[in-house]
Amino acid sequence: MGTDKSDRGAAKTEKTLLQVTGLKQHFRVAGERAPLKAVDGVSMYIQKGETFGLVGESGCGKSTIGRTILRLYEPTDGVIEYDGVDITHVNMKPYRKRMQIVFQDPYSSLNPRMTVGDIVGEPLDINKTYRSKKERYDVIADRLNLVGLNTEHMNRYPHEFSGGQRQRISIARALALNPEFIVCDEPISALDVSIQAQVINKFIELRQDLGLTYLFIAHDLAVVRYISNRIGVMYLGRLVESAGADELFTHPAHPYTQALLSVIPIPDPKMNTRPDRIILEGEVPSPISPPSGCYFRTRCRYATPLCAEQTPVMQEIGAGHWAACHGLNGTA
Amino acid sequence: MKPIHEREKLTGELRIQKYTQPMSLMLNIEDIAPATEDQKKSRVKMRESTTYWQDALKRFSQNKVAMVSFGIIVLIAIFAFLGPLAAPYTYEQQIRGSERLFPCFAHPFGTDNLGRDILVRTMTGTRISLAIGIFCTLIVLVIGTLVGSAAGYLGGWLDNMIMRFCEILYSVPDILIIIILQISMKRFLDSAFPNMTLGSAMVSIFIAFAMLYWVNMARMVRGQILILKQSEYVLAAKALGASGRRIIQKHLLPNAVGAIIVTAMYQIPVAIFTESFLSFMGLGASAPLASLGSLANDSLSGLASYPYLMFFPAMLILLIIYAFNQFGDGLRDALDPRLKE
Repeated sequence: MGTDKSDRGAAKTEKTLLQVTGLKQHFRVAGERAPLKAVDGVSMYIQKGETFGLVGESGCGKSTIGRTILRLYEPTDGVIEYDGVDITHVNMKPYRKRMQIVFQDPYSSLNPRMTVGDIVGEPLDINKTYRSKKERYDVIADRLNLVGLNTEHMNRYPHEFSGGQRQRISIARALALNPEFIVCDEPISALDVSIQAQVINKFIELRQDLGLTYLFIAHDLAVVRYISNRIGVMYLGRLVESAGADELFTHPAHPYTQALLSVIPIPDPKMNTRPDRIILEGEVPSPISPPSGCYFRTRCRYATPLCAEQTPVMQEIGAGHWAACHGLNGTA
Repeated sequence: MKPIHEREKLTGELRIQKYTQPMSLMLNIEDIAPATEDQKKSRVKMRESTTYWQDALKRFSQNKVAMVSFGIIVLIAIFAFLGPLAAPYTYEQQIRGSERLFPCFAHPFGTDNLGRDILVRTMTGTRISLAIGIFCTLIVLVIGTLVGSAAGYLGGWLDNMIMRFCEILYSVPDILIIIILQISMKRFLDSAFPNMTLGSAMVSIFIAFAMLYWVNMARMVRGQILILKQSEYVLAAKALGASGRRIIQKHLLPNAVGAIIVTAMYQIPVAIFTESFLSFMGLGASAPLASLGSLANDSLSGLASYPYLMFFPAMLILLIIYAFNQFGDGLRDALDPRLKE
């Protein structure tokens, strides 16, 4: 399936840093014959220096994509190309320095038995990037300063820090090896709203200062719009629409994107509900036995018999604006 | 207006005035000037960072029952390992004319029908019990941790095989295995180590314990590893390119060590009790060596006339097992971070 028509969502250019083609990640579930299709044929690309936001409901496979790209899971099918090289099956060791990840939960992503210095220094220890203790210390101190922590914090343990500080320790660890690409796996979802802004701005600041490229996974649409250049919308393991951030918010093409955007609350106390709100009926189908054809058809108000028969492919409906829906051709 | 240097002089005079006239409202500007950066820095005090072990030690020392139990264990250990050195008799020495003595000044625990001092025999018996408990637990610790972490970390068919094997071992009655082992290994052990003071029966108890009791430990370690393996910091270490060996050593085992120590601590009284039971049945220590169980067994024949022969060893078994269990409870409360929150 690696080369079927749905791959056209990814247009390759010279500046492309990461290119994913027809990526599939299926998990075996105990007691189930069919695999759980966490990611089911996703194609996308990320250019150097840009931030690609990935949104979708919980369980739609956003985090799985991030982890599969880093080969933390072995992909079931598809191709991952990084900086022009196919890394789907290679030894990841040289790429670990270049691609890093920041996790969602700052409470479980730091080993409680290691000091902050050792946590931030672990990437250096693993990849043996220093010749002396001093050199190691300097790198750790530099990364801690970069995220707004002190060198005095090096001998402390994670439980002595707040959620926001812990998340910054995670970021410092991810930055230790000077990566160029960071998967941000819902890095702010577990934080208080007041802290979220702090951490988000830290991400933006680092992107400018260090020239980083992000894959920014989140379910908060406002946050994604704020930080991303381009956004992809996922539903049940498939990418349904991708476009520039402003284009997506002003001209959503896919019915699912339209529904998602219509429920963003407007900060106006006089308005109880948005008049244009689209309420999706029913539940998200199980990724073990998804519906035939278009996965969204069971909850789509425009669904036609065609949607049950054929899987819609990604098509370009504007400059850099791709969507997968039969309705776009007037056939639905 | 005076020139500047004169005015400064004046402030100096005013300052003296301030101290000579207590009611003066004149303030000295220098006293309320904002602190410089250096002064601020000297005030900053970093809170002492507490490690997991310091935390655990603090919690443990606040637990009275556990501390008392720990004290009892230390006293019993001194009694068992230093006592025989200080005593004027050996455990096998038969003192003519002092047979069947009631506890008295020369023999605080009395003597048996052969004139052997019960105090010294109890001391050596306790030594054997403690040694069995500790050595067996050490063996269990090593085998259980290795097998358990391999099964938990690698998973798949290896995990399946190991766990099925554990279940089989678990379902076999341990007394049966110990007896079979003792009988089948007696000839081999006697010919291999002819001058062993411990006796072949005791050695086969060691071997049997090691073979049987690692199962619990392995299961526990595997469960812990399975939970910890899912944690995001392990995933983060993988994303950094850490090897499996490093992940087990730096991330999984340090976080499982509390549970491992607690399980090992609970293993000690179990081993001691089983040894006492086997010796009581005549399957453990062979004469003239004494263990607490065999001492209790020896006292059975004259129980109505010489009850103290039974009292002291039985009392020690009870004390040891009670103290180790309470100590284990205290350790669990101190080391298990889930109870902290």
